[in-house]
Parts: sequence; structure tokens; C-alpha cells
Amino acid sequence: MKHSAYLILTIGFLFFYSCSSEQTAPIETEAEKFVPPANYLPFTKIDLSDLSAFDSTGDNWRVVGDITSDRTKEKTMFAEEGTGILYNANDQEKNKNIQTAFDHGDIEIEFDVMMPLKSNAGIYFQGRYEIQLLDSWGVENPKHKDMGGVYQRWNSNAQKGKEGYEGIAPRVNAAKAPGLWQHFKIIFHAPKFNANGKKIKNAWFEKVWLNGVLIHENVFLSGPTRGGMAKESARGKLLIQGDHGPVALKNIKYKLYEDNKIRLSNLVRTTYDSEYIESQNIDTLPFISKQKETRFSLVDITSTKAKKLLTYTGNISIPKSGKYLFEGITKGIGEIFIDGKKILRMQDAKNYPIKTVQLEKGTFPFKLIYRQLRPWQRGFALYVEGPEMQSYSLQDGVRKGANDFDVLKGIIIEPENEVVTQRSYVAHKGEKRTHCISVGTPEGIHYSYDLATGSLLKAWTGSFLNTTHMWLSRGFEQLGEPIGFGIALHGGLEFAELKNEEAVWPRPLAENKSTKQLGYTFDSNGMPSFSYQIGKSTITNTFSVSDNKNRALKKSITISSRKKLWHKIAEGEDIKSIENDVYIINNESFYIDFSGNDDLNPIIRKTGDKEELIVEISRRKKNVSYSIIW
Amino acid sequence: MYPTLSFGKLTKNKSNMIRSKIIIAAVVFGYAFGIAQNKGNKVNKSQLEKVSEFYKIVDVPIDPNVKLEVGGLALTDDDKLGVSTRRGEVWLIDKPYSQNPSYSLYAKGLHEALGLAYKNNGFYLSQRGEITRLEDTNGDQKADVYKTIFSWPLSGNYHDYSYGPKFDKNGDMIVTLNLSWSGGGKSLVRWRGWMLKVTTDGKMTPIATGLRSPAGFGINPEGDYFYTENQGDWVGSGRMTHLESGSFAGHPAGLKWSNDEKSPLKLMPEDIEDNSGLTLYEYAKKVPELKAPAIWFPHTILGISTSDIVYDTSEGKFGPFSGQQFVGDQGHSKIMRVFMEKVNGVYQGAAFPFVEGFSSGVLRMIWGSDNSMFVGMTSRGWASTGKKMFGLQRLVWTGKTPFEIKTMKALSDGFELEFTKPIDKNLGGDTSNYKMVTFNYNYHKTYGSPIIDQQKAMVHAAEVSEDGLRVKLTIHGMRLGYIHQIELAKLKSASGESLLHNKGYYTLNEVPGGTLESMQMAMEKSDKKIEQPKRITEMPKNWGKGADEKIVLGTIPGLKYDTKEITINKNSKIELLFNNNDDMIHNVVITKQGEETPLKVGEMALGLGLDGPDLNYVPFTDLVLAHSGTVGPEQSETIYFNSPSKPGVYWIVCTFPGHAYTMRTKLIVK
Repeated sequence: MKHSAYLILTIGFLFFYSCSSEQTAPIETEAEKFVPPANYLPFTKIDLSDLSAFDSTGDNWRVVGDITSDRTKEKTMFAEEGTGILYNANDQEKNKNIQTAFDHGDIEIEFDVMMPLKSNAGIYFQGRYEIQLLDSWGVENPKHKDMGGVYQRWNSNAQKGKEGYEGIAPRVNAAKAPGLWQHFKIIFHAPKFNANGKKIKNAWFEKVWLNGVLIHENVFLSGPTRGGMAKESARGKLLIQGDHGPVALKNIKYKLYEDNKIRLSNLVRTTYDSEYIESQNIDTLPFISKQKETRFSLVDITSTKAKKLLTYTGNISIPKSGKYLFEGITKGIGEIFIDGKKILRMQDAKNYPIKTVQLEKGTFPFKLIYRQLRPWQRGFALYVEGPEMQSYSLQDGVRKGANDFDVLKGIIIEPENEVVTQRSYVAHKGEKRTHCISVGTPEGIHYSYDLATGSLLKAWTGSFLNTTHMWLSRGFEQLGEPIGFGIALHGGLEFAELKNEEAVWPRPLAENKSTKQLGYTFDSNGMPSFSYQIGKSTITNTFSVSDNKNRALKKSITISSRKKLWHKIAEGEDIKSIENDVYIINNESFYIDFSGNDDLNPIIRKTGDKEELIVEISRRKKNVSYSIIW
Repeated sequence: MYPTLSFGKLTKNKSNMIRSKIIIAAVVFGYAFGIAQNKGNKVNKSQLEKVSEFYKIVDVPIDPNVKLEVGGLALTDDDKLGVSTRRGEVWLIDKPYSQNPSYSLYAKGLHEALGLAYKNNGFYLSQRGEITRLEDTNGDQKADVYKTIFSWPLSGNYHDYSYGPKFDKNGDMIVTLNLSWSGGGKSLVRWRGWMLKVTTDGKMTPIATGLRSPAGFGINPEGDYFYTENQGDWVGSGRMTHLESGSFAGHPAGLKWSNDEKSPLKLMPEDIEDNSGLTLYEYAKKVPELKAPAIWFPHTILGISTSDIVYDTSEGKFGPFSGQQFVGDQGHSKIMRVFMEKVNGVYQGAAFPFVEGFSSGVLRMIWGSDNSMFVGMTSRGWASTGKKMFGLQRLVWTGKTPFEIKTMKALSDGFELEFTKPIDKNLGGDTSNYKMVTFNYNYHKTYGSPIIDQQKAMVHAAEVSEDGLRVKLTIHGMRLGYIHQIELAKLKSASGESLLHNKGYYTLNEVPGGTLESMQMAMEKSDKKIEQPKRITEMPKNWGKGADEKIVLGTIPGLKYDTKEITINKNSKIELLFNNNDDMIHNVVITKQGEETPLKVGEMALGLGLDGPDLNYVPFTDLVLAHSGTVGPEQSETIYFNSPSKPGVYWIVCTFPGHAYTMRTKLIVK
């Protein structure tokens, strides 16, 4: 998922902030393939084996097992019996909304939604504040009423044509083609009221991601959006609109948050001579200074380059019994003790310590031992998430996510009138690919290709490439980052000589030994063609793009081979064939339009927990082409 | 006179004990001229002006839309300057010698190009992952072919820089690959830390390893490969090393791949000790693959991150340094000069400061068609003295010849310096105008090295040539494997000019003839107790009231006693006080009569070999009547003896090896 990519990038950015470009002192950094463990507590899944999680409603809503939508036919969905998917078979008569049985204040929620062609729905937080669900595929300048937009408010008393106000368009149009599953992640905060019932803080969307793209951040709502319940309050039920077209949802999971916070009190900071920095018996050491602190913050320490040894002692108040997840990031060593027990040891950012512990409600002794072992190994961050408690930074004055890499800011390259190419390292499914090239087109459809494996890695639309991690200072990550939203392809070897149709698809050899890279050439339109040799075959890949309204990346492959080859078109958890040589690949959730290759017959085969779409190519066959649509 | 404690290396098994004493000595007495590490390199404005009279730095205007972070430079056949950049672009600059150059983008999208070569109507360059061939097939001044000539694995680490190519005399390309950085230099994937040869049709041969940060390399007119190294782990200071097939330059990380079937050497990383206590020169005597550097660039004095090498083949059109080399420094935004020679088949030579004050970090230099030097620069991520983020300038010779040390050549017992102009013969012949210090660096896993084992050497004679262009210096205290700093602060040319740069650093790997004949400065005694009855340093008890005559003997520079003759009475009790005011070790030996006797005794002393120090260089012979021990500089010793009964001319001679020829006094007994 994109989120782990952001985590890796956060680490990278923290590295940058806490290192300086020193000429003689070595700076530690690491380009790694490790996948960090989940840094969040589990969500509550809405059980979709029936509708018991919802208040009863009209029978346009039901639970189904599978669903597809023909992307060429408006508002058309085909459902299969079963459970796990919430389906609204809306028509003129059957058009009720549905709402959850639970009501919520602050909530973090994720779900998948499928929009048929030209369909329309919406998700109303507390039944009041709508995030629009719409088929907005191909819309160039999205508005508030497009997919993911914060729908406008409505003043019916205003001058005609000016009744709508305060609608917020998504930062980018991250809507996929109709009929594809699309993923939302939303963090919403309810409005706050004082004891007299007067509203003292507006409701706000902290973050909204659509298909992995951050489309909203810190959007405040002065009141309910159009169609939402008029009177605001601290709680409300989650409502899904059911009267504007069919829609399907699945994998709905959420966490409710209250105003719980961990409180640190009676804090005392004791500083020791850094000569004892390795000491395991801190309590016996003579100290340099001991002072009371009203704030828990190590920012002043970590901002100076020196060896440091200090402790924080005091009390920690746990608001509610339950599981607490601590996440620590440091380049030195940090040890956290609650009630005398060590609950977390943080040591250099490599190890990315995350610990979930069961804590009881109450007040307990608290201790932090922090060692800045080497003067330049600075940085300290401590986050905690708990029962009904959103993850936040325990350090006063430090906001979680403050240093997160924002892909819309920094050094960005953008194609203007012609195609732009840029080689870089590219992150793909948690791995860093080192011999890659990204191509940006003026039409706004871009892709990344791995020259060493001869495979398409990603396709996206929006802005082209963020190269901050290549060209800011030394560029520790050397990553070219897609801006805008898209999909990842399987990224493995695309061609293989298989013994038979059941043979295991080979993995790329180490040191890029599977292929011989030949490079690329440009045609008169500035479009590149990439060539490589695999075995005794030579493969050339050329890509072309449609206009952005019907977004597609067309892949044309030229093969020169004396042998029969197999080509892997796609891989996913679930691949479906729909009519006219079109396949849906889930997940990542995109279409492959294979029409036009008349003599080729792709097959879907199951491999472990995945499915592969592969096709046999006879040795006389020279061309294969298909489109990737998302 | 300046005090020194100096110990020689005549007995190797004493080396370690000596070294600790030397370090203490160096610390205590180490106010050696100019070796103290100056933090940072502040550019002296008036010095810049002086140099610019001879070599001017001229800006090449850069298109304001272009981030010209220079990675490579190459001239095309039609005299355009090709520039590859760390932003992955290749720019063609038309009229780069003018103040109105025009820029056109030839290629883009590469991954941090760090080199460029022009050949056969197209370019070759190294980017992070491969050597790429660029060609413009349709004549629109833009590359449309980006052919992969040879690709190597990458780890994803930012430190995996790939440099080059340069073409060797066979038309093949040489590239060098930087190590990755992960808490130290590591070769995370194959061939990091190696120099590779690649043909234009993609066949690769690994040449040498042991490289750490090989940002610059060159192929000299004879076709030999050299590369420059940057101070870091395993690298005490910047340096230039000659590489041949199978060479190991010092950093063990690349040895990880010596088991590759193509590797020309079998040495393994575990074969190299982390902390041997030796210098690289000494370690290279144990490990034949290890190459001692040809030139050391003392850290912070001659740069901090050595980069490109260019050879002056202009035959005089770039000033008086034809045949020599210029080496860039990225961190100090300057260029040094190197005079290289081959002694006993081994490359070595001297490095001198040349020009500083460039606008950014000097990475690449090439010759323009007008014999000016293009200097391409970048400092993003690697801060340099020149504050601009990137730059392109030209270094132009004004036509005026500066007064500089032109060459410095090794002799078996000294150095011969050549100057660009005749020197003032009086100043030139005065040994006090020359100061020499020798020092070294550790070869160990630690990042960098302090200066170790620093000692003063003694300039004993300075012989100026007839035409005043050369001076032959006889040096005591040269040491093989050490860097020799020469300083001539007060020397002037015959026309009264001061030297533009008055320091040079010679890396002494070999001496002509193969044997070092420079007198050693000192020696160390063993713990052996040897009886020498002719040396009486306490007043004999039966002398009662004391000596009949007291004589005092001192020294003057040039290996002489301060008196030509002393007269004493026969059969007398003599007390002789010997004051060694010199900076060398001496003794006094009273010999029998005979014109040839002092020399004979001196030669017998030479023959004592390793026992010499213990015996105070006094042989067992009846030619010796009485003697002192070896007396160190600024020390003295008193001896007591009875003068002979037979009158005549006797001798006092110093029998320290080599001194007997001149250091003698007549002892007339009447």
C-alpha cells in the first residue's frame, strides 16, 4: 500500500533533517528493502455477512458476494449471491439511504467502493458532512462534486445560482475508471461543544486519501453540507446515500476516537555527563543538572550535535485500559519504562521499534532514558495510539506527520509540450528498483519502467515526478516519486520460456542477470522505445497514451524470437475476464483491454494466493499490444 | 638552533619503540613549519590576485535556466563543449570561450551523469547504473539513441557514484565505481570499489580494486592509469595511485569480488588487517598487490577531496609546466600541480599548490582547443569553499611566467629542484633557506589519519647550478615511504621575485640507484652493555687535584669541529669538553698519528654496521687512543685521558658514518 511507502519516505526525510552534509564525519544512512511492521492498532471491520451493522432501510440495499459493473453501460451493476459486499441496487423506486447502527464522533475509516459509469452516491459523516462518491473518471479539473470532494454547503435563501458555497475540490482527481474498486481512507473529527451546547470547534476532515493519494488535508466545515442533517452535534451515524445511483462498498473498517490522551506530569529532566553514555546504572551516576519540566520535549537536545545522556522521570496517566501501540524513532537509543517495566527500546532508526502493550487505566511512574551516542545521530520521535485514542506525538510541540514528505512540494519535473524522461531509483511494492526510467507525457499520463527487468512498474496520471529525493542535497534516497495517482503493475519479468502452462513464472535473477539491457531510442514524437534481450529473444516496449478523458496507457511489444515465449500481462489477488477481451485486475484494481490481439488467448491461472494473466506467444508472432485502464 | 629529537630507523626491530618516542617528540617539538592542520581553507585575496597575474579564472556564462551541476566535460569535433550534469542532462555549449555562449540541450533524463567522452560523433557517459552511448541520428541536435553499453548492479545507496569514461590508447573505456556508504565504505553490490575497462561493444574487464571514492582518474600520455582518492575510512589523506591490472589501492571493501572469475587478483578482504600499525608504504612491502600512492595530497593543505587529473600536453602553451599534471579538489575549489617522475620503474613525484578561488567544487577539467582549461564544478551535497552550487569556468594562462618550483626530483641523498626562473644565487646557496620535514599517515580502517611520525630533515648542502635554474639539495634524514615537505619561504629569483608558492610535497617511494644514501638523522642503542675502556667520562680518582689541561671543542655547520688544531703537552692529564652545537649526532675520537689515520678509523666505524650505535661508532682498534660516546644535538660530554708521551701530530675525528672526511681537528702534542 502507498502508506508504507510514505513511511519509508518519512524515515528518509527525518534522516535528511537530522544529518548535515559533513565533510569528514561519516553520515549513516541506509537504502533498505525492509518492510516496517504495522504501526497502527487494528481496525474494527464491519461484518458484511448481513445488514445487522446498519439500521434497517429500504431493500435497495443488500449484501452480495461479488459484483461487477460494465464500464460502458451507465449505472449498471451485476451482483452475485454471497456475503462481504454492501450493494445498493438503486432505481427510481428503491432509493433509500443506509446508515450505521453505531454513531460516531471522531472516526478513522477505510473502505473500498465501486462506482458504475455515471453513478453518484456519497458518504455522510455523522449524517451531516459529505464526501462525494461519483464517477469522475477523466475529469480534468475536479470540483467539490467530483469523487472525493467535500460537498458544498447550501443556502437556499441565497441568490439563485449562488446557493452553493464552501465545497472543496480534491487536490487532484484520483478517481479510477467506473467499475474498478477504489479505496478511501478518511480521518474525520466531529465538532466540539461546550457544556452549554454551544459549538466551540468546527467539524473537520484531517486527511482524506483516495486510491492512495492525499486529496484533502485539514478541511474545516462550518456546518453540514448540502443534504446533511441540519442540527450539528457531537455524535451521529455514518450515512451512505442511496438515491442517485447504484454503488457497492466492501472492506469497511474503522476506529472511533474519543478525546483520550496520555498525560505526563511531574516531569523531571536529569542530565548526566555523556562520559557515562553507555552506563546501564544511570541511577547511580552523579548528575549535572536536574530540573522540573512542564513540557515533555527533547527537541532542544536533539537539535544540537553533541553526545547526550539524560532521563525524564515523572508520572504517566493512562486514560483507559487497553492495548497501546508505541512507535519510536531515534538515531540514538531511547528506553521507555512504565511502572518500572521497560515497554519500548528504540535504537537507531533502522530498527523502527513498534511495541503494543496492554496498559491499565491509572497513573504510574514513567521514565525515559535517552542516549545520543554520537553527536550527529540526533532525532527523537515518540508516537502512541491507544483504545479510542488517535495516534499522536507524545512530545509537546511536535505534531505527528509534521515532517511527512509531501509529494506536491519540492523539486518537481513536469512535461510541458513534449515527453520528459528521467532515470532514477523507483520504489515498487516496498522495494527499491535501481535501473528505472520514468516517462511523463503532456497528456498527463505517465509511467515508470524498470530497464533491468524489462517491466512496467507503475502508471499514473496527474503531475509527473517529484525528484526532491534525488536533487536536494546529496539525494539520499535517489528516488523519483510519482505525483498524482495511479497503479502498480506486477513489475516482475514479463517474458519467460515456460515448459508448459503450469510452470512457475521465473523470478528475476540477482544482479540483473536475467536480461541484457540494450537501452532506448526516441521516435520523432519524442516517445521512447525500450529494448532488452532475454535469453535469445529481443523485446522492445513502446508506450502510448490516450487523452486524459479516457485514461489509458497502451503498451506495444515487439518480439524478435526463435522460441515460443509466454508473456505475463498482469498479476493480482483476483483477475476476472469480462466481455470483449477486457480483464479486471484486483488489486491494484485496473482494466486490461486485450482486444485487437486476435490470435492470442490469455489464460488466468492461480499461483499460490495470486492469480496471473499470461499468454502464450508463438515464435512467429511479432507484436502484442494492450491497454491499461485505471 | 632548533632542538630536535630524532631517531633513525637503522634497526628495524626497534621501530615501534622508536615510533612512540617520536610521536611524543613530534607533539612536544612539533612546531614544524606549516604542517599543523589548518581547519578549513580560507582563500587569501591578495594571494588570489598574485596568482591571477599568471593564471586567470574566467567565468563561462551559464544559461540562467540551467542547473549546470557538472559531472563530465568533453569537446566535440566542432569545438562545442559537451557538459553532462548530475541532473542527468547533457548540454552542448557553442562558443564556450566567449562571453555569449549558447546552450542547447542534447540529452536528458539520465541518472546522475559523472563523466563524459566524445567519440565517433556521439558521447559516452557513466551514469549511476551504466555506460550509455548517446547518438543523434536525425541531425536535430538531440540524442535519440541512448544505448546501454554496459550495465552494473546498484545497491540503491546514494553513495554508488559511477565515474567516467575516459578512453585509453586502445580505444577502450575506463570507469571507476564508488563504494556504497553504510556506516563505512562497503561494496554492497558487485564491482563497487573497482576500476573497470569496457570496450565500446560492451565487453568488460575488471582492472583493479581497493578504490573508495575514485572521483577522478586519468590515463597519462604513456597509457598508464592513475586515479585519485578521497580521505575516508582506510584512506589517511587524498592521494593519487598508479593502477595496473591486479592492483589493490588500499580499501578492502572491493576485495569482496576478487573471487569473480574475471578478477585479476585473489586477495580477500580478510587478508587486510584493520590496524596493522603500519603506513601504506610499509604494508605494501608485505602485500604485493597493494600499491603505495605515487602522490599524497596532505589533507587540508592540498585539498580535502581530490578529483580530476589533466595532463599538460600543450608544449608550453599553458605556461612552463609542460609534461606535468593538474589535479582538482572539489572541497577546496582549487587545482594543484603535480610533477611526476618514474624512479626504478615506480611513479612518484611532488605536488604543489597551483590555483585556488574557483566558484564551486572542482570536479572536472579538460583542455579547450585554445589551451585554456575548462573547469566544471558542483557542490550540491558536498559543500565547497567556492560558495556557488555549481559552476563552469576557464583557467587561462596570461602568458607571463610565474616564479615557481618547476620540478622536484629525487636523488639518492637529496632532491634536485628546478625553477621556472633563475634564482638568487646567494639565497639559493644558503642552506638555511630550505626547510624540510618528513611525515606519514596511518593505513588503517579508521576514517582519515592524523599526521604521524613527523620529523625534521636537514638540508646540508645547496648547490646552485651555473644558470641558476636548479639547486641540488643534499638532505640528511630522507625516509623511504614518507612524504617530504620542502619549504623555501625566503627564496627569491635573481630578479627579486618571491616564489608564488613556496611549498612542495614529495612522495618518496624510491631513490635513483635503489639505495637511500641520505644520512640518517639518528640511531637507537640496544640494551646491550658494552665495555669501552677508552671512554672515560668521569675524572679518574688518582688525578687528585684535577686535569693538567682543559680543552673545549665545539662544532660548526657543515660537519666540522670549530677548531682546526689544538695543542697540548705530552704526558698530561687532559680534560676535554665536547659541545655538540650541531643538529646531528657526533663523537670525538682521539687517534694515533698518521695522515691517513682519521680516515682509516672512520672507515672501520662504517664497517661496524648494526653494532655501530652500541659502540658509539668507535671500532676496536689500537689506532684509537681515547673517545667519547655519541653525543646528541645540543648535548655535551666530557672525557678524560692522558696525552701521549711522544710528541707529534695526532688527530681528533668524528667517526659517525660519513663524517670522518671533514670532521677532524689536529691534536698537536708537544
